[in-house]
Order: sequence, then structure tokens, then C-alpha cells
Amino acid sequence: MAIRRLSTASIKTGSKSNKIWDQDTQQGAIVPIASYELNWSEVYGFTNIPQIYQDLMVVISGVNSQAGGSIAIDNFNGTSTANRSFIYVGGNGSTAASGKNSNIDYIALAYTGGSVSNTVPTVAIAHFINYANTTTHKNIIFQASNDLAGTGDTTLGIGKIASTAAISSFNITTQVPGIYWGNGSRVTLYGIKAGA
Amino acid sequence: MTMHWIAGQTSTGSTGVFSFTNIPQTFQHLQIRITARSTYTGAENMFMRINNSSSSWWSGHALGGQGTSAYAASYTSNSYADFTAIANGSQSANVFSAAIIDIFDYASTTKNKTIKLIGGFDNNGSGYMEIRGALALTTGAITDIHQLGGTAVGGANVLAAGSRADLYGITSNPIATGA
Repeated sequence: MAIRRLSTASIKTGSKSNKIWDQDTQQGAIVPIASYELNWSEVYGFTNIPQIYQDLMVVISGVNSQAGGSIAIDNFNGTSTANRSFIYVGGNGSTAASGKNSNIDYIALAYTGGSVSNTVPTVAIAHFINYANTTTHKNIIFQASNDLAGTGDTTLGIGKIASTAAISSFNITTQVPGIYWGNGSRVTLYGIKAGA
Repeated sequence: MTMHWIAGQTSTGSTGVFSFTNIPQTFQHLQIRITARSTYTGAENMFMRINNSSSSWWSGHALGGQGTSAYAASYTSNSYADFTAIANGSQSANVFSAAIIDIFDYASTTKNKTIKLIGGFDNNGSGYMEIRGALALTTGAITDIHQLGGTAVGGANVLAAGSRADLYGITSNPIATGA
């Protein structure tokens, strides 16, 4: 564990030493949980997700093994139930559009689908709001962008899982059999803390 | 840059609006992460007021989609920041809205206040997703968010049980970079 000296002004609570980095002070509310480099697999999964955070945030930078894949989240809690849906608004440089899908087993993060490049990273951020609660359906706010030097698209959307179960696992997938995550693709899961 | 939790509120089913008072002036930006449902059964938007004021200093723009087409909208001289549609009592059970609201340079006393929201709700293929910008024509530092909820708040219309909002402060100090 690295130790860093902090100034008194950096300490928000009086109970903490002003000489020792206690990790929590520096860490803030966004806490890395796990990060994978995605190499030559269609699917990567996060399992045993701690239930101690208020929200989750997934950051993806992905290149497909060949053009035509997508970025999607599925297999929530190990199930493929068709209780997922999403709505998006996006643009491709010339047209703004909105679309939706319902009664499906995945949430797609890139609205044109099949647009992920094999050379240029597509980036996406997905926020799982209140993922650990057991009384409401689960919302995922997502943003994605892939600019291909004149083509490509950007997307803003919300997905829903019609289940009150807390989310403890899910997969990141290209959604297309035979298309893999290319070298350098990375996905990182963060927890967003609430409480002191 | 690091993000730090400041406060959170959960509705047990009798909360009209969320409010955050005495907001520390020590951060660069604020972020609110909210999931909410109104008990009202008509169309209703999420809204916000600041600094215990109902001044008509708000204007804003929206880009959104409801699943079939994109749309844009705007407003001026509002007494509140008019945000995205909130899931309400006419939606299926347990359907809630979600939104992330960024409040930039909230402690500034020289700039008007600019706010960005992304959010919406999905009710198995119906609903809305939007990005909205809001402007408050006031240079006063934001010290409280005294109303955050649905525009139809009042009487029996409240935030449904399970609604929750968390307020975070975002720093701009160099600690996060290790410098």
C-alpha cells in the first residue's frame, strides 16, 4: 500500500490523521472493482459484485475482431430472461433518431447495432442506478460513441430490467457469434459509494 | 478529480420532494444521482429549484427520444428547472426514472449556473430518454437544492417509496492525480 502525505486542508473529517493517506480519503466515491482487458472472447462477465455501493458504473473501450459487432450487457444474475428493454436517442452525423426494444434479454449500448469497428475503439459508459436495492426495477443509463472519421454514431439511452432482484453479475458481449473483442479492448467496473 | 458523497435521501412514500441544504462550498462541481417515481397518475416532469427561490430565472433545452423519433424542446422564464419525464403512478409497478444531474461551478459567485441532466425511464419499450441543459440566471452560489421531485408535487402526490437521491461533490484538487 502506498502512503502519501496529505496536507491538513485535504482532510475533511477531524478524526483522520493529517499525515497518513488512509486510502478512503483519496479514493472518493468512485471505487474500482474490477478491470479486464478483453482479448479474443465474445463475452466477459462480472460476478460476485459487492452489494455495498449505491450505483455501479461500467466503462468500456472496445474494438471488435471484425466490423459488425455491438456492445451489449446481458446475462444479469446469470439469467437470459426476456425482461429487459431500452430506449435511446442518438445521431449519426446527419440524422437524429430514437428507437427502442422490449421483451428482450439484453440491453444494447450502441444504437445502430453492428457498428463497432475493428480498428477504432467504441466507448461506452453505463450507470446501474440503485443496483443493490430489492424493491424497484433496475435502470441503466448509458452513453456510447464511435466516431469513424466521418461516419459512426453517438447514443444516449436508458435500459430497464424488469426485476426487483439486486444485480450481482452481468456480462459484456459483442452480441454477435464469431465476433470477438479485439486486442486492447478494456472494460472496468466501478462502484459509486454513498454514505460517509 | 475525485467525487465524494455529501448526502442522500430515500422516500418512504410520504416525501413530497427531496432537498439538500447547507451544501458545502468546498467542491468544484456537484452531481446528483436520482431514481424516482411519482405517485401522480398524469404526465409529470422531474424538476428542481435552488437557494430557496421560486424566481423565474430558469431556461433550458432538451434533446430526447421516446422510442420512435427524436425531438427537441426549450423553455424560458420558468420558476424551476424543468427536467425529464418522471415515471409516475400510471406506469407499471416498480418502474422508476433514473437521472444524473451535473451542476457546474455551483459555488461561483460570478457566473450564472449551468446544469446538465441525462435521464428518463423505460416501461418495457415506452418512456423517454433525454439530455437537458438548464440555466439559472443567478450568480449566487448554490447553497441548497430545496426542491427536487415531480412537478405535480403537492397534496397526495409524493415520491413513491424507494425513490432516492444522492448528492456528490466533485473536487478539482491535485490529490487524485497523485501530483
